[in-house]
This record gives sequence, C-alpha cells and structure tokens, in this order.
Amino acid sequence: MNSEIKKEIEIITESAQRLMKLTQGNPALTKNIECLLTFVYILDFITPFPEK
Amino acid sequence: MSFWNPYLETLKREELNQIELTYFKKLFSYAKKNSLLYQEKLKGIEVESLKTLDDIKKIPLTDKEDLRRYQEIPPHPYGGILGVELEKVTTFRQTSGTTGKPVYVPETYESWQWRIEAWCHILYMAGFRPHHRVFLPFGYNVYVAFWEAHYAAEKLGCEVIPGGALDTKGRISKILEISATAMMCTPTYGLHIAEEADKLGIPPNTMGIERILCAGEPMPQATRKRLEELFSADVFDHIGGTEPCGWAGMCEAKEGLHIIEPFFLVEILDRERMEREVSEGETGVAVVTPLGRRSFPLIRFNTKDLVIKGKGHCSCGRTSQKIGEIVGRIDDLRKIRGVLFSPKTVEEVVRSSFKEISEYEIVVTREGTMDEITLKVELSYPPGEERERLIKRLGEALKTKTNLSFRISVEPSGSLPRYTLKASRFKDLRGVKNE
Repeated sequence: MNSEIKKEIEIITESAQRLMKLTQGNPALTKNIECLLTFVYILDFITPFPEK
Repeated sequence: MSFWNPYLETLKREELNQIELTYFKKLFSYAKKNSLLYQEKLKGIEVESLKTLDDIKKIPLTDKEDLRRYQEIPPHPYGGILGVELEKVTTFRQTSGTTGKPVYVPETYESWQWRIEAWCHILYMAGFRPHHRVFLPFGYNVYVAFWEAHYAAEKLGCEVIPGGALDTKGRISKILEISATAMMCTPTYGLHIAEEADKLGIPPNTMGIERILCAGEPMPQATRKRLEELFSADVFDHIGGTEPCGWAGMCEAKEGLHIIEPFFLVEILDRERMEREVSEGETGVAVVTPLGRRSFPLIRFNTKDLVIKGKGHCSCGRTSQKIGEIVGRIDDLRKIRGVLFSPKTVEEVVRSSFKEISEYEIVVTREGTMDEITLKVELSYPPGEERERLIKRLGEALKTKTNLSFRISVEPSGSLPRYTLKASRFKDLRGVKNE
C-alpha cells in the first residue's frame, strides 16, 4: 500500500511545485501552495517505507 | 482499541529501528548543513559512519547550556540553533527559564504542524475524539504549554474552547455553561478546580468532564487516580518539553507511556555516565531526538527527565517502546542528610493516603550543620485529636517512603501558593542566608 501512497505523494509534490511557478506574484496562491507542501512533507514523514 | 496511524503504530521493532536510523541520518546531514550549533558539534563525524542506531552514541549530547550559548550569536533571538532562514520562522516559543536564561525556540509553519501531528498521537491514544468538547483552562502565552494540545485537538476534529483570561470560578462556570466533556490542564490545576468546585457546592464528578489529559508537571499514579476519582473521568499523562516537543503519551491501558515513534528517537541512558542504554525496569535519563523538525534541529537532547524504561509491547497493540514511569527531573533530586530524595515521593504519599491535605510545600533548610526537611500542609479537615493522629500517620508514612524524618507544619487554609502551570512545591533553602 505504501508504494502507491508514496507515488501519489510524489505526484502531488511535483504538481504543487509546478503550481508554485505558475502563481508567482500572487501571495495568496503561493502561500496556500506552501501550506499544501507542508502537509505533503508530513504525509511523507508518516508513511515511511522500510527497506525489505 | 483504535489507532491514529495504524500503520506507524504497529510496525515491527526492526522496521522502526530501520526507519529511525534513516530519519536520523537525514536529520544529521540537514543539521550539519543548516545549523551552526551542529556544524561545530558534528565536526569530524561523517554520516556514512552511522550504520546502526548504536553508532549514534558517538555523537555528543546536546544540553540546554549548548542552546543558551549558541543563542548569544546572531540572528537574534535564536542564534546558531536556527535551522532555517529567520524569515521562515512563524512562531516564537520559549522555555520557562527556571534553570537559567530561557531558551527561545523557533518554529516554522512546517515544524509547528509536525509537532501537532505528533501531539495528535498523544490525544488519540488518550481517547480524544471528534465528539469531545475540550476545555483548556489556561492562559496561553510565550510558553509552549497547551498550544500544541489546542491545535492537535482541533486537528483531531474536537471542538476546542480556550479558557484563558478567566479565574477558576469563571472557568468552572464556563465548563458547565457549554457542557465541556474533556479538559487539559496541569495535575495541580485539575486538583484546584476540583477544590474550588466543591467550595461552590458543585461536586466535580457532576461537571460532565469525562476525559482529562495532564501536562506540565510529573504526575504520580496516586495523583492521576485522585483526579479520576474526583471527576469520575479517565485521566491520562504525557511527557514532553519546549525543545524536544511532546514525545510520549499514555494509552487507554494506562500502564506507562508510549514513545511517539518514529517521530522521536529516544534513548534512556544511565545517569552516572550517560553512555549505556538502561534495561527494562531501570531508571535512566531520557535523551530525545525529534526526527522531522527542521526549524530547530536537535540531536541527542539531554532532557534531564528521569524515567523508568518500560516494556517494548502493550496490551493496546502498539509496538512502540514504553516509558514505565516518569520519576522526575534530575535537577529536583537532592541529597538530604546523605539520602537521595525526590520530591515526587512526597506527592505520592500525600495524594495516595491523605485526602485531607488540600495543598502542601516541602522546604529544606540547614540549621547549623544539619539539614532539616519540613512539610507544610493545608488540611481541609479534621480538627482536634484526630488531626494529631493524622499528622503522626503522615510523618510515619513519609519516613517509610523517604527514609527521612520530616517536620510537619499545619498552615492556615489558602496560605500556600496555588499554581496554574508548573507547580513549585519544593524549596531548597540550604545556602540561602537569612537577612
């Protein structure tokens, strides 16, 4: 299950980073994307994937 | 039993060790690059040399003095402990400064949310759920106390009521007015609310509080059970601090505290040399590394909290390492007439067998070359001969538990200090000259 979660987290991260580039100059949008990335960081932290 | 994060909370020991080592190495590299404190402290140690969790023992401990020293340099006020650019800091917290200059703790939005996520574990373990209406009878301020609790309860979906800027009577009436069902407070303040409610003719067990999480002070089992009796509520403990965050909490089995793994790597080391990991049942000092906080990287922080190492399993099904019991602060341990004394022992005696004592204070003085220890007590009842018998019984119980003879002094009702945050019922006045 975790490998699928990790894949989705990567997709959200890449998408948020793309959004960040698109929204330069709009503090409201960039701040909300920053907040999104904060929760992505936590999501990644709480779904560690131990090596087998 | 249910879990906040069923995946994390049921990982096997080997898996947790592996994850914690990976996280530790990441933090190590990050700290070495971004924190002046660790650029210097970790000099000569390479991340490649950390192959097992045992290898981290070669890294020097960090203590409060290190933090104070590195805070003296720019940027003000955090100095060399900062792990991010100053402009990324969104929240200021500070320690109470009871042992010296306060430590200023920088949090970014990310690190604060990370702390809150760890705290969600503490609350969920203690049975807090979205249907709870949680009252926080505390005036929030520059200290971290109850801020994490507030936001974590909110994140869990509870309804949170900040109860600052009210006196105790006002808080009691607010609890009743809005039908609060849960509360978070220091154990001392919980007892004070019960005492005040009683004075108002409101038995605390009719207030509707069904769950209490305590913070801010060590809470002996006897105090926890006393609070449970008074409020007819389930009462839970946790341990944490401003620098390392809240790092362990009590589950509904109420047998010790679970370390919040893998948020924190916790070592429990022998207090003589601070080198050897103690065995189950042995007392040691908790050394904590928060593994995901980047605003203020902290590696092997000596909390000076004395704890008994608990089991590695629990009837609740969580697999994290447990703390059997919190013994107290190393700073509070004193030699009195050659006997090692912890103030927590007195609290255990008072709260377990002497419900007549509504408040107390321990004072140690030196008279000539002799140490004297006095227990000042306020008694809610009884008068006369019965009181004499109670004092005799108290003296005997204290002697049995501490191996010290106490002077017992009965003080007028309401004359001893009451506390809303950290109670300070122990005063060592040896070396303090009378003017």
